[in-house]
Amino acid sequence: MKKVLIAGGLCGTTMLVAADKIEARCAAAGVTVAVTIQNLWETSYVRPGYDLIIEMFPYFEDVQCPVISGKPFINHVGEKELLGSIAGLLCMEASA
Amino acid sequence: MIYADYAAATPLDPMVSEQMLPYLTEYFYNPSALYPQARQVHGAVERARGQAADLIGAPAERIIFTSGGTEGDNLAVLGTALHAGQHKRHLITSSIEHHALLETCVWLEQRGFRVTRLPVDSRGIVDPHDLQAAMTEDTFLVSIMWVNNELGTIQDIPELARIAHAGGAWFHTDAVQAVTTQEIDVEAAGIDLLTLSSHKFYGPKGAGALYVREGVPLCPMQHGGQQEHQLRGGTENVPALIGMGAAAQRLKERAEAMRADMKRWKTRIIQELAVVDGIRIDSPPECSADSILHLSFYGIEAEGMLFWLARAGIQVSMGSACNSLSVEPSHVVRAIGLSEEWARGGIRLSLGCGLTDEKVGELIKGLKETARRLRSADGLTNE
Repeated sequence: MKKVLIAGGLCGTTMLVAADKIEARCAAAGVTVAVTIQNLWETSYVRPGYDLIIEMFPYFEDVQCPVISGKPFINHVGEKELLGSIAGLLCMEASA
Repeated sequence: MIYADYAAATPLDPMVSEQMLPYLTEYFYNPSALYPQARQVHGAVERARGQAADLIGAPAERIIFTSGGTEGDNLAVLGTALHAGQHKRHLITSSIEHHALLETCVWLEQRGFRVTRLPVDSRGIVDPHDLQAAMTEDTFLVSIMWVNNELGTIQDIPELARIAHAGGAWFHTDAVQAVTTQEIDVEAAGIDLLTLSSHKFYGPKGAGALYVREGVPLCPMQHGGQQEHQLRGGTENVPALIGMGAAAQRLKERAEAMRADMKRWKTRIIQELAVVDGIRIDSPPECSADSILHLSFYGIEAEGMLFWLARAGIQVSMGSACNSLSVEPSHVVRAIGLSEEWARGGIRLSLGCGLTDEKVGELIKGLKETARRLRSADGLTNE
């Protein structure tokens, strides 16, 4: 199972909806994911061990896993492509 | 720490807290009681009423104490709308009012009232011609805020009041953000109802005032006591009202110096940021209060700016504090027609007494560095 973190702030509903979309898209690609949502205003400590981090605003700098911007989930520009990229990244991870 | 969110809340002036303290401890009496100690407290409350009235050029007896701006706006609109002798059903406001006003209007619409929300231009200004065109024989109230809480836009209150009166309507203005930068004289400006809130001018939270001109029919929203001439029942929040009165007096004493400082700081911030690509000044100095500056950062999410500014010890807001739980651009920013890429990057700076020239310099530096950081992280090129 792949572990994904969505890290942001006030956009709680957006992150929840994004989590659902990611799970569905990855399931369609044959990858099971567990998505965690974190509000960085409440805690900026992030546990290690994620396979992918999606940040709703630029935050992560020195992490081991890929980090991609979740902005398309907010402004809905390029959201479909982003979901494809996420599934692709996790599929690659899964088959590596 | 650099605090630049004075439009959300101002720190309590030390002189104000000093005046409040005895009424939190020794003089705890209910001002409605009859024994001398209580009458002394009653006298102090009435002195505070006079101080608040003095700030806006009103007679003391025309001030109703409230719990703040939201209650004041509610009382002004609902109190006039629902008065038994008032049968008109149309009111006019602007599209950029505080939610306290807008939500109250929605509530009235749900009960059969009609509300016209006037558009604003790209600076947030209401065109008096639009108000003129919207007036009908059924209009009982026009409510336009004096200084917008997000943009700082200053409306032409005397002219708008004149048009309202010519059309047979009362005129209310939410002056919560106006009082620190504008000379307010309710008589000269022709204002019938005016809302104030103490924590915007270095007084305590939980206290406000509604000015009601003699002859304006108002019905109470809060029943149950004789207080405030039966227009707002309930035991007074004595320490907060004492604090508000003291804050009003202090503001009168130091307004000139404060305004000069804010003008100098806002001018400097605009000069240094207007030349930076990707930053837009949404509060032109010629039509906005010196206390508020709305900036838009192209292609950057405002929350990201706020987050990293907060980490750098700089405190600002996006939209209004009351609306900060949403990442969506506010109704104010939408109303002035900003495109999505600018609107999502809108933040509000608001200036006040705790700033210094040095802190303003640090603020400017922090804004530039944070924007640069977020742009390079996003891989953005400037517009």
